[in-house]
Amino acid sequence: MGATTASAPPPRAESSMSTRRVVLRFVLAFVGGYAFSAAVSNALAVVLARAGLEPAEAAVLAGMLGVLIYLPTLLWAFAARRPRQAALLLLVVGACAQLLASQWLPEQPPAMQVG
Amino acid sequence: MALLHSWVGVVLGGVLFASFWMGTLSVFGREIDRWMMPETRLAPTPLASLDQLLAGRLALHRGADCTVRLPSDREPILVWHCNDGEPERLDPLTGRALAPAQTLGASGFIVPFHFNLRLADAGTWLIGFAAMGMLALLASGVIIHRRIFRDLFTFRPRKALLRSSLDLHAVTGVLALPFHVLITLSGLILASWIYFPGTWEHVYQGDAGAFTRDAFGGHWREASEESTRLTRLDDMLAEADRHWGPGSVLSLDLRHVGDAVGFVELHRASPERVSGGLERLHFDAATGARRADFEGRPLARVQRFIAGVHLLQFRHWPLRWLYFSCGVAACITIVTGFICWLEGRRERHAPHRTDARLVEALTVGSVLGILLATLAFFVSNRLLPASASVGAFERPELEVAAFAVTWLCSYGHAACRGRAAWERQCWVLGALALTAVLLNWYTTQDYPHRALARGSYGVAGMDALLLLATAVAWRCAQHLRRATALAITAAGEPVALPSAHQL
Repeated sequence: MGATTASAPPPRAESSMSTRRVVLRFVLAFVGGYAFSAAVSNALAVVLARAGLEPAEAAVLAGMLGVLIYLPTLLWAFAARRPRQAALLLLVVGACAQLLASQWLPEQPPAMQVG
Repeated sequence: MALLHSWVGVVLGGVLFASFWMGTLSVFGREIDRWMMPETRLAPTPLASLDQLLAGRLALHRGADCTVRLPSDREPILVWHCNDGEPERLDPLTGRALAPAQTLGASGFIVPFHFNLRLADAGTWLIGFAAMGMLALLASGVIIHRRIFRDLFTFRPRKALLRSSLDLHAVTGVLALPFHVLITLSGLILASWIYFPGTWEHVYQGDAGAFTRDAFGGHWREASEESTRLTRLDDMLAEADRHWGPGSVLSLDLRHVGDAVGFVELHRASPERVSGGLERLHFDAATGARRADFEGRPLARVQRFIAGVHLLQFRHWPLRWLYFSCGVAACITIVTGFICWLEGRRERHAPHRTDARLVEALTVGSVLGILLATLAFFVSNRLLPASASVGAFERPELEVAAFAVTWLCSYGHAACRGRAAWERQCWVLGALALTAVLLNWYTTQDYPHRALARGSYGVAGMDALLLLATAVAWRCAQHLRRATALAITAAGEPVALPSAHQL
């Protein structure tokens, strides 16, 4: 759809995008990125638990990886040249991951530690 | 990347400064606690007998769950708390109960402020997003300053404010970059099960208790209704000393005190290791027999190691001071970042534009305001007697009120005074810090030589840092006053700050 339109003052290096676009980028990066990394970490937790890792270990590892996935996703979403494409990608992959996580639960709930 | 850096910085900078400032103070949180609670400034003594101290007291809390925190060199008192009563502090030498502290102190105010702005869950999530923003700032900052090595050795203090702020911003940002990355990342990973709850919710079908017990230990069984004699804790401590080494017990959790199925869990203190909080010994209360120990599985141990990097529970004074210095560097990075942004805007817009003034007021309030508020918190602690109360508010609430009111006043003053607020508030900052020290000397007679002779190094250190803060604040205020005066005489009317090389 052509180059990003600059706001009324001449384009400067620091704000070559209008405020509205920056806010949308913010939302995509922070909120969208979070939702995406949460969904992916959920899927990871379930996959690891199913693959044989102890359930607590799987959850702990997936949580840590969720943090590590969030940062590059955030940076990429903010800097992506085509934000609509980026948003769509995050949405589709995230939705698939979440679907995987919710549908493919481990067979038995883990037993509580018995004293 | 430059866009990301400036936008995230401006939007989240205030929250980040608050978190980093309170976090830096938290490094010496125990020492600040001693300063704010003078009755706990005891000389460290080894614990003689836990049963002697507690047996009579525990008998009043049958059926309750109690936690006992043993004295350490940084906290020379015994603190115990049952869920059906108030926390109590005991002198480990005499067993005497200390007067109620009537203050939140560092552990009750400063440390929680650091990770949730004292706003419960909403604050935790805001800090979480701010922390992720910090990582984004660090990444984008590095990408922007690709010529790191050239920038690293450039600090031009006599140049224009924008140039010297930018240099200081880059220097403090880059020199302490490993710290900034580690502390932010470890903070997020420490709480990863709060920020990514889906991971354990899916695997454990929402059973939080089962997850925390499997991952981080902990034991549970329901109380029976039969009672038994109270347990002998000293034997358990002795067994822990044999198993872990002398003096390794951090705290004890007593569950179902006096119940036939009651149990006691001992937590290991690991002052010589980074990670901690995972190993437990489990004892039957009735028989004193040791049951299953808990050590934690490998990945949980990794998570606790990373958490340990953040929580700083190990004993290593040089490293602790390094963390503190790096924390100060982080605060300077954030402030200079704000100044860069403000000066950059000033050079592009007219200096009197409303949005520039608004952001300047917000900057002064977010930076100087929280510093002033913290000092007001300390001053009010020393000024008000422990029994002070105004209506329903007792001293803890009054101290927090002093904090909040001072912070708001800083914003208000900055909104009215604009540029001059920087200098004025620096003078007040220095005055408040000096007042805090003088009040400490007046109310507790812990003059530096006396504090050092008594072994209260924490108190002496706090006084020393407050005096240093006074000196730095007044030096800054002097510098700002000279700069403004020169601008007035040169142009005949107040203008934006001139280049500092004119001084």
